[in-house]
This record gives sequence, structure tokens and C-alpha cells, in this order.
Amino acid sequence: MKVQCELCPKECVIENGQSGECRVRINIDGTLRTVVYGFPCSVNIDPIEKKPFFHFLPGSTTFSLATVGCNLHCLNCQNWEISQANPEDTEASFCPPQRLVELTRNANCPSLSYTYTDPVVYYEYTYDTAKLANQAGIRNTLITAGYINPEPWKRLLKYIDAARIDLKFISEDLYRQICSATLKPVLDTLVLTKAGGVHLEVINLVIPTLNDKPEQIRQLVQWIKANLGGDTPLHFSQFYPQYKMRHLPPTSAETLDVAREVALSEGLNYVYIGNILSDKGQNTYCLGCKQLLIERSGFTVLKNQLKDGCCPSCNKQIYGVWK
Amino acid sequence: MEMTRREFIQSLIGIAAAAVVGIEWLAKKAVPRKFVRAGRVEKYPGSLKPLGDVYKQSKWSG
Repeated sequence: MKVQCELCPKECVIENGQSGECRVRINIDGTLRTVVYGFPCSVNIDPIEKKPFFHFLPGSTTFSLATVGCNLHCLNCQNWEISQANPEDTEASFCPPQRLVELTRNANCPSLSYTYTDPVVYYEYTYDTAKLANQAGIRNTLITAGYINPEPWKRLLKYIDAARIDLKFISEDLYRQICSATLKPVLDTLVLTKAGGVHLEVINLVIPTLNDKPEQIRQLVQWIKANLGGDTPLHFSQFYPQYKMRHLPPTSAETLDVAREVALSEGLNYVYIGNILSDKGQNTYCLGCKQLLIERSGFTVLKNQLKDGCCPSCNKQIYGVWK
Repeated sequence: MEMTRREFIQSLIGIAAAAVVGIEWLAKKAVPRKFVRAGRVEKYPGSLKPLGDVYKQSKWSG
């Protein structure tokens, strides 16, 4: 008997013994099963800035995990060796939710991050772990492409403190061509996240010749401003030739600077540049008096002058979760 | 051999019941069962490894 997975907008119809597009959700005798629950392929402690989160517990470490598999197939994926791999071919460790929470507590990490591939495909593992972590006073963060149906997303958000969501393009065609996905569900996920009161940061990978024109950037930024608000932190990330997109050059520092300028001019308040060292593009400045508030270098916080989430000079409150 | 009215009605009911069962069976085959949440499996299909040094920063992006 066939099954249909209604977790993500792909809604794969799966024959007995086969998996959905994500490779990890399988039809076993007419029942949908996940083969990665409790079996992460990567478990590490990272700086929260690596996700990147710049307005969520800056300078802290986050207990990070992923399983194999992804529901998108981006031609430029940086983690394709695990996101586009079969579980049969990928080593994993046994680590049930309770153990993850214990490890996080033992390591004194204030948060758990579901990351590297996409927590959407290991939804049940994420959900159960997040629920336990939440009860234990540990924050939960999702690093995701946001390609999920609204109902399961809303259920999961109850236990989530922060989400870093990719808005890869502001074009249906590019989502289809590059990621084998569609734009609308991602926009819906972003809006739901904001409406759910979850701390949200958005990332956009700037790929030469695909989405690096100032007009494309402007369109993306205008959507963010109109639908998520000007305080939403936006990270422009440098593309690096990877996987099936090795024919394009890395994004230049100048292109990223232009993207940041466009976003600032359109009224976004916190715009960052990532994957490349940048003078101003890594720091947080006060909206009111322009004072340098958080100075960063790569994933390291060099200086954090915020006082209870406010500028020490003009007392302006800065959007974020600071403690 | 002639069929009585009772026998005729009984055979009609039998044929109708068989048709209903058959259609239901076909419908079950054709229409997939829908799931959002997936159940677990006990055994990982790939090979298992020890957890390793979790304190080391990941090589993966994100």
C-alpha cells in the first residue's frame, strides 16, 4: 500500500519499501517510518555565531546536531555529503533525545541547535528532543530552509526559541531550478515563525549571476521589511563553488557590500555579511546613536557592550534574545 | 433449473457485496494513507559509530 508524507510541501507518495525525496522517511508495509530518529550523523558544539545567530545569546555555544537527509536538493549545497546522502551509506551514532539533553546540560550549553542538514526531515527527533530540552530549561534553535507544511511547523514552534531560515531567492523559478522546491511555502514559514513570537534571523546566499543584482536584492529585502519587519536580522552569505555548482566564482566582497547597502537603504536595521571577513558587516551597531555594540571577528564575539539588551549610551532597545 | 425470486435476490445481494468489497480494496490500493508524523525504526540502516568528540567544532556549515 502506498503512503503519502504530508510533512513538507512535496507531499511525496511513497511505494512500499521506498523513501520520499528526503531519503529518510520510508514506507514500511503501509506505514510511514523515519529511519534517522535517534541516529545523528553529526553532533558538535559550535559558537552560536556559526549558525549564524547574531541577536540570540551572542558569544554562547550551542549543542548542534544533524541527521542525514534533506527535502531540498540545492545544486550549491555546502553540506551535500550528508544532506544528499543515503542513510545506508552514512555512519551515525545512537543518541536518543534524553541523551542529547543530558549532553547539552553537561556541556553547559544554553541551547540545542537542529542544523547542518534540515531538521524538517528529522522532524520527530527534533520535536521530541525540543520538548524535553524545553522542560529542562534549554533553548531550542532551528537552522532550516523552512520547507515544511504549516500545521507541523506550528506544532514544532511551541518548543522553539529561535529560527534561522534561508530565504534563498525571491523567485519561484530559481527555487525550482536550483533547489527543486518552491518559494511560497518558505515565505509562509517565515511569516508563521514571526507571528509565533519566535526569534527569527534570515540568511540569503548571494550567488554570482543568479541572485546578486541590486534589483533582486531590493525585492528580497522589501519583502522582508513588509512581512517580517525592519528589525529582522538579515545575513548575506558568500557563495563558494560547491557540489554541482562549481562553475561559478565565489561572491566578491564588493557584491556583498552592495547587497548590505541596498538592505540598509531599504530600511532593514541589522544587516550582516557572512562566510567572509568584513569590517562593518560583522558588527552590531545601535540604531539610535550608531555606537558599536557587538564587535565580532568570524564566529568570535570580541566585545559586547549591550546592557540588558539596550545600548549603554542612548538606552535604545535592540531586537534579540540577549540572556 | 429455474431460479426462485428469493434465490435471485440473494444472488443479487451477494454480487453487490462482492463489488463493494472489491471497490474498497481497489480504493485502498489506489489512495495512499496519509501521514505527517512518522514512526521510528529500531535499527539504523547504515553503520553505527561512537559519538566522538562533541566538543570539537563541526566541519559542516550552519
